[in-house]
Amino acid sequence: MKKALAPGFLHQRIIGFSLAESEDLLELGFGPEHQREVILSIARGVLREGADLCYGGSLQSDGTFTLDLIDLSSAEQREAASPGNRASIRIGRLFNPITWPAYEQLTVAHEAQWIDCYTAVRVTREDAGIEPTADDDAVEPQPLNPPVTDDEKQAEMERQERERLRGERRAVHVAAVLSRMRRMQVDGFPVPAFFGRRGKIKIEAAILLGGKVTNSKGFCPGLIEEGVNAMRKRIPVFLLGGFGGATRVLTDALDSKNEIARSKVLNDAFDRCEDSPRFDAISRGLEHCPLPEGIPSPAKLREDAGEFFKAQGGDIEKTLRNGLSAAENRILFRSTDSLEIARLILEGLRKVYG
Amino acid sequence: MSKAPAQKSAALPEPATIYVLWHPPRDPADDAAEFYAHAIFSWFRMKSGYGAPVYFRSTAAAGRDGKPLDILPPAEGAVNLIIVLANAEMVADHAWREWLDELANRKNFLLFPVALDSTAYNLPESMRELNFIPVQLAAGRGSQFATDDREQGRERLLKQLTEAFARVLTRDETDPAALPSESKVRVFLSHAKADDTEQARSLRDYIYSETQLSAFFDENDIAFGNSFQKVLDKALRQGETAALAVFHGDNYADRPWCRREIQVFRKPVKVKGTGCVWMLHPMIVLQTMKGGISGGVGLGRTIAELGSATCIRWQERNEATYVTSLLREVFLGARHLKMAIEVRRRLRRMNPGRIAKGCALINWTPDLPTLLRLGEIIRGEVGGVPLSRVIYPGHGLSRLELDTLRLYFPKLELLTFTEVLS
Repeated sequence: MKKALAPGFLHQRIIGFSLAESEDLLELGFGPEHQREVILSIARGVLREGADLCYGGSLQSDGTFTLDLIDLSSAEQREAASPGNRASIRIGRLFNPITWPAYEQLTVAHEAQWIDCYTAVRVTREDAGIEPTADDDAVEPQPLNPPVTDDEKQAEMERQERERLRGERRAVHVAAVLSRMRRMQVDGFPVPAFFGRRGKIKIEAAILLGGKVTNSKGFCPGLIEEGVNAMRKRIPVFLLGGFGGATRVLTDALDSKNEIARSKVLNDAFDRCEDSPRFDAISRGLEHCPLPEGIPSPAKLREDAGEFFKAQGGDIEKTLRNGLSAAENRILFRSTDSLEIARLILEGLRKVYG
Repeated sequence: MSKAPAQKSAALPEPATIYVLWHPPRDPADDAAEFYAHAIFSWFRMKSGYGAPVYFRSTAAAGRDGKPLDILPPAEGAVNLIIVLANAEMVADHAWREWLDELANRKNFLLFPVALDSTAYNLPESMRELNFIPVQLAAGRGSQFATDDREQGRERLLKQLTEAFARVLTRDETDPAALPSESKVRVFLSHAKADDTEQARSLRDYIYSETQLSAFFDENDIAFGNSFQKVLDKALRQGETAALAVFHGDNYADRPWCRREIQVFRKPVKVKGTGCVWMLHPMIVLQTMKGGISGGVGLGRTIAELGSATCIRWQERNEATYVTSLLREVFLGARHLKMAIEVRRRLRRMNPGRIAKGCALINWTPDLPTLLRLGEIIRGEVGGVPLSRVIYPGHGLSRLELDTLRLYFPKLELLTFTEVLS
């Protein structure tokens, strides 16, 4: 007879992970490996309480943590299924809302190999309200020989101009799809119906760590957008600021002494993001490529973040709603100890969902 | 009225923290130092997080005048192991020179300069007396550096650092004047004569020519009639740290003397003056079996005494990997022993009564053969008291391993250092 699996206190809850390498990691004395250790420590803890994970990263091995979380979920499932394991809890999987064009790396062979521990949710340009044209995806290779005649030179100039516009449109489309994905994480995204689950799921807690402030692919630092989305929806949020980056911006904003300081922290971060080469391409793209409906502009994202934090007035418990006191949250804002961090997060989740 | 329980101290005691220092390169494509930094992390911290903490210092920190984040002093009795990946950019940076000079003079900061290029030897005076680790094969003071080969450089660097760190953690702490270099590690090579002895000889030769270790090889070093136990006891009395490399060939399992060597070596030893801290000598198993269905050699067997020891397949010209792996076991064993002693001290402070008779703090990951022996020894020593609680390093055994151990020790409590302190 098949063994019934016991539920942990997070049974089938979706715990969102908003993670990325931050530019100031090295300045703080860390590398991506330190972030990885903390993330896996937390993820292992929530998996062992029956949760599913949600993380919107690509399948690159550098700079993202998707493959690490897949490996972890798979290993924990094998461990839980080992013979003689009396107290086994159903171990969840990784839901990966993966955006265009990153999902083009994902093959059916990958999905088949990881079928027990991974579900991809492709977030397309169409999901973001974009109707891609043939020109958007066109590839015009550089001519083999340099142009000689006037006609050839003219043709080459026109080709380069089309490439430039295409590149800028693409930058806008990438940013728009990312925004859409971030919204879907808190509003709900469709998943194949199985094990009695409804066809749509959304995150029920958000854990943020790191995150780029400059050269973000989105309209603003991605983790600021994800953090604000979750906080506005009153989803429990855990901010791990010890590894710097956009998460540190959020912790500094939340823990600022007054409104002026708070506003400065946020505006400095948005300014740094907009002062980077990648954002230049996005802002040039916005001049000739309109934003789809429902996708917020960079200015709107900045304004929404500012207004949200102003309304919260620095009330940590009310803003984060994660079961922890302000003092415990302040520990998370600064800690880099993986055991301490994992313990506090599980404590908070137990108070909210236990 | 009962006494309130003492506050539990959750932070794990850390006897050695590793810091890797490198100057941020002007040319982002010049990432050799960063390559070695990540290699050092992977090797000493290990993917599982079982190893020593490793931190980086490279990019300038705010308010530090061009220097990275400072390094905190270690806890009482602990050391900071500072690896300095030195190149021209570091040597030429005055802020860095000032900082390195300061670090070299701090108590319990042990610096290990690594020469990434020939200018490294121009670091501040306080560092020039130190033994530099050259990364390139043909390097050394005054020599030309060979063409960059990072994989070879990585192997060489990790070997030398592991040896150096093992010596630091195994030095005799009762002698305040003892230098790390005076700590000796003796590698015992256990093999069956019926198997190919060439491998054991090649490892012995490598140890003598390329390391500062000594090797014990029973073809040469054991006098006729002397027992392995006596030789091992003598080495330990002389203050040496013993490590065992087992050449597990096709005939090893059938040789009683070989199995006896493992039994002697793998007998848990109580640490003097502690009453309940036990240590195991580090060991690796080199898998040299060649047998199969064809070829007339037959099939070899594994042996229970090896338990969950680290096991590596033998390949020729890979001696550096085996020695480095064994030395990492020495380093980790010494680290965990210090942690066990400190955990014991904290437990006694939290509960002024004695720690229960059947309790053991150990410096290795428990497995069935070693726990059976430990239980037998404790029962013999304390009038039949069974092994009741084992406190061990790491993040915890897998469920399958725990279930297996509970079949033989149904009432045994197994706790990690972290669990018992939290």
